[in-house]
Amino acid sequence: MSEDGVLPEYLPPETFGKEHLMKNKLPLLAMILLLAAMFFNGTETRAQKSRHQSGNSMRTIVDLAGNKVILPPAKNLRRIVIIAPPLVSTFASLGIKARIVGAHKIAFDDANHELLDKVLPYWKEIPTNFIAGYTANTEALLNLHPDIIFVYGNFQKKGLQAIEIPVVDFFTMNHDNEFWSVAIEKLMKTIFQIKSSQNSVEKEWKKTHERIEPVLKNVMKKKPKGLMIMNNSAGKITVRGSESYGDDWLIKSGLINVAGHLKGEGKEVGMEQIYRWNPDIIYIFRGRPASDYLGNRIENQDWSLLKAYKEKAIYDCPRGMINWGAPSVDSPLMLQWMVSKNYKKGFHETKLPAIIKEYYQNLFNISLSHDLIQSILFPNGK
Amino acid sequence: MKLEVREGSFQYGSGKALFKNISFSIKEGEILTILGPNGVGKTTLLKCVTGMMPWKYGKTILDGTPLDTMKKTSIWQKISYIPQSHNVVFPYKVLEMVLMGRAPYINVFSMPSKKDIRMAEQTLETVGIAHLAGKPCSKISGGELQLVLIARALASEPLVLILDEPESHLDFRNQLTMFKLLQTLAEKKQLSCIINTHYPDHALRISHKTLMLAHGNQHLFGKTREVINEANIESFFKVNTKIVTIKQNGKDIKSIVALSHE
Amino acid sequence: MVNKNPIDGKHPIIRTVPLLLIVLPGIIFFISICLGRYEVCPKKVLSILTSGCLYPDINYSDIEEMVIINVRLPRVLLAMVVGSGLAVAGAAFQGLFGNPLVSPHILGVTSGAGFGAALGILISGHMGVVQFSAIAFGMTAVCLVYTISHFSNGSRLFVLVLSGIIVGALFTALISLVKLAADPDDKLPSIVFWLMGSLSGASYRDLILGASLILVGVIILLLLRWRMNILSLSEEEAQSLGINVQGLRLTVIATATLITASAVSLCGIIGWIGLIIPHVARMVVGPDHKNLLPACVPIGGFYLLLIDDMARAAMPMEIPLSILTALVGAPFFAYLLRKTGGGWK
Repeated sequence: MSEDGVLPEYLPPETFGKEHLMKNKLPLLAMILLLAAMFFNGTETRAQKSRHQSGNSMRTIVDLAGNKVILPPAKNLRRIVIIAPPLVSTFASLGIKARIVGAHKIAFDDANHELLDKVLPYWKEIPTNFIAGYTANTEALLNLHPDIIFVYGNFQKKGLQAIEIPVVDFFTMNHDNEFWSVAIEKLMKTIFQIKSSQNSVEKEWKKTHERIEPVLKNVMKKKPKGLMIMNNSAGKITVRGSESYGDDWLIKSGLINVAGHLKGEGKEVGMEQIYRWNPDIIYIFRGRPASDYLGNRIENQDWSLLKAYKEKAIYDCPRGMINWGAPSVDSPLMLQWMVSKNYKKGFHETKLPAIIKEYYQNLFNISLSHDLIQSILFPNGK
Repeated sequence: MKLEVREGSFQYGSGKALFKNISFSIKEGEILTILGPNGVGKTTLLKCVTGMMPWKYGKTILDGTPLDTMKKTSIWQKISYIPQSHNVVFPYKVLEMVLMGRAPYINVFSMPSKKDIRMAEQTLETVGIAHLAGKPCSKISGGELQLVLIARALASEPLVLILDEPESHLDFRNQLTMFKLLQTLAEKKQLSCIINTHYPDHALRISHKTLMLAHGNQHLFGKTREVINEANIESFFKVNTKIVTIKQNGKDIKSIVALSHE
Repeated sequence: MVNKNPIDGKHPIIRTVPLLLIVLPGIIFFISICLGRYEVCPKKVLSILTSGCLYPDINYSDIEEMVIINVRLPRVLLAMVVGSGLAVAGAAFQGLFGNPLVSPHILGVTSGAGFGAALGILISGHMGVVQFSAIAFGMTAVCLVYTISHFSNGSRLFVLVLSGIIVGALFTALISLVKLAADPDDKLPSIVFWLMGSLSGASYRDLILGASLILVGVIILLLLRWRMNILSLSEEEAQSLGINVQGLRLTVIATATLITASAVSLCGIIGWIGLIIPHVARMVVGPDHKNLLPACVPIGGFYLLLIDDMARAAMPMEIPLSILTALVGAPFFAYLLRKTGGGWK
């Protein structure tokens, strides 16, 4: 480089002129376009061809988002990648032989690890680092050699459209915990061709309703006011508004969602708004534990003025197969737990350990110790 | 080639007229200087002459054809205009800069041909700066840059060359070099030149004709020798002067000496 | 005089530069297509790319074929097209405004297109709608900047940059508004992810729809490249050189915006390329747009290709492009400034 920092004088740029670059560059561009067009129209990879040829053993299912997915027989679905965290719990409950070869980190971070050890002994070996946010690195995912991929919503499908591995979308528009937990179980049974209908989540929901309906029927006209905190970190509080799974929890367990006039999950609010709502009961999904609220230990947030604080009605969501605030195979338990908090007299919480024990016995065929049940119910200690 | 302005008037929007009913003409080989104090609208006048700004009334006529009926490219093949301020953002090489003067001959989607490059090189020779061809415009002096701009204007083979205060950033010697060049061009290439200037001295020295402007729509056009006299300078510039003549090698050199002003 | 004819003189060193600019991206292209989290050896890659014409005796699996043909190839091609497009558009904007500090980002085009695309995702999510909306709002943004900067009389550069900041801020706020209105379950993550910039969704459909628009834009700008020299002069000078300044300006703005907005709609907001690559190119071939624009094509393509290689292969997870272009671009730009004292002056 010459002193003035521009080009050395002996380097006239003319050789890039018409004579050279124009002649060489434009055809290159044209070639790229042509190449693209060629692949777009003409090329069919061998995998596509072979799939077309062996078509008769293939079957078509419709996923929860309404897409048609072509699947091989269940015996050929040996390696599963699960990007949507709550699906891991349902998968584990069905006793499927297939192995999870990749999953979202949250599926394990948000679960009770002792429980995972019992249900999914190899969970620590499952790679999670190929997902950033909810986007998988396509090639890193292919490295796991999955036979099928489970996602929730289009945004989790980014980069997965082009690969010839079936992608099943478990997204539904209605935010109904019961509907979803039943629907995903049914869809997974279809995918893995499981015929037996005993010990299903659907049955557990029936039992749940038998237990809580008498309680909720006698509820006074004026229901208590509930709020579910989505997250509280770095001074930012988000709550679960209407049309969210959190809203469904509050309403189904016999409360009014004070944040119901906000639409959607994770709406940011300030303390003033929460004072105005003055909820009777607060559930904590993520972020600072309930003990920090009850000890009024959160910087710049005074929770002691609220009714829920005074009545010590601030609770962490339990963590079983996953955080119960999310819809999952544990959802029937979540609803019963909430009713036991909301209507203590009608549904005494001493009933819960037995219910939980029976539930895991039925669905996972495991026996939970008293300590494990307590660690599920109080994920941050008592 | 004859360039003529007939009863040209201009005003901004509906404001006061900047100038009214100006008429003048210039033939090949002639130099016309436009003289006037600051803010009188000399630059605007040049822009109106070239059609870059529209006359309010009147018109410019080039060899019998009104300018506003001609195609832009054919106007700019005949007229070259060198505006006053020119800061170079990108340090194009001198030859690249001069080559831009060929734009009126080059199709929108085309590049300069070998012939265009040869033309550009020739104009560099004409102006006498062929040795600068490969230098970036940011690395040459103000005087050299002015010569480059003249070369660029000449590259379009114009019949009329219009310069807006070409001496403004030049030192004493460079001013003389440039005026000498313009005189040569007018003589040898039979170019018509129109030059805006603040200095009656320069007008006196090089021009055949002079258009004097003053505030309040005053103007005066005629042969330089007749227009530039002590009385006119006083009335147009409000300066008391004396025109002196010095004999040097048998030639009369006239100069204007300022005596006083209010 | 050493070099009598600086336009026609052919120094042996000079011939190698354009050759290098064509051969190098070719090599990078091949290296990139061999690179990735899923291991496929180069011989196999060649065999797959040529449908077995080269190395016919090497066997490759279906999954290897799919990785190369369906995952890597479209992504590598898209990276090259988008990189070239953004670099050429950046050079065009700099020439047009006669200002080497201008970039599509500073002029608010990316924010405008970003808002358009976010709105498109919110309303329909269909690729065509997203693209159209991105282009429309990209155009709106640059027109706003242009109008605002022409209303005021201050220094051209200063007013222009300020107008760009104003319009950029306006559209950034509108993007946040769209995020606020988006369904947090499905649309919001799509918008957020897409705003960070990524080529991970690259498909042949993207190449056909978006990249063809970029290519058309690049070709138009390449054809106009010599005129851009004149456009970069002051308005009066440009006018007096007999070109249709307004028409040409509008064409260049529209074309460069088309390229930028298409790039934004394909892979989100990727900053820096439009600012840095023209400078790098200027250092290699000089400021003449006749050479500058063609040089931007390989350099821009090559740069984004390298960046995207890092994004997809450096870690098991995808790294957003905007992070990498800034992390690599900012220090590099600082280095260039230090080394050359601004280079263009």
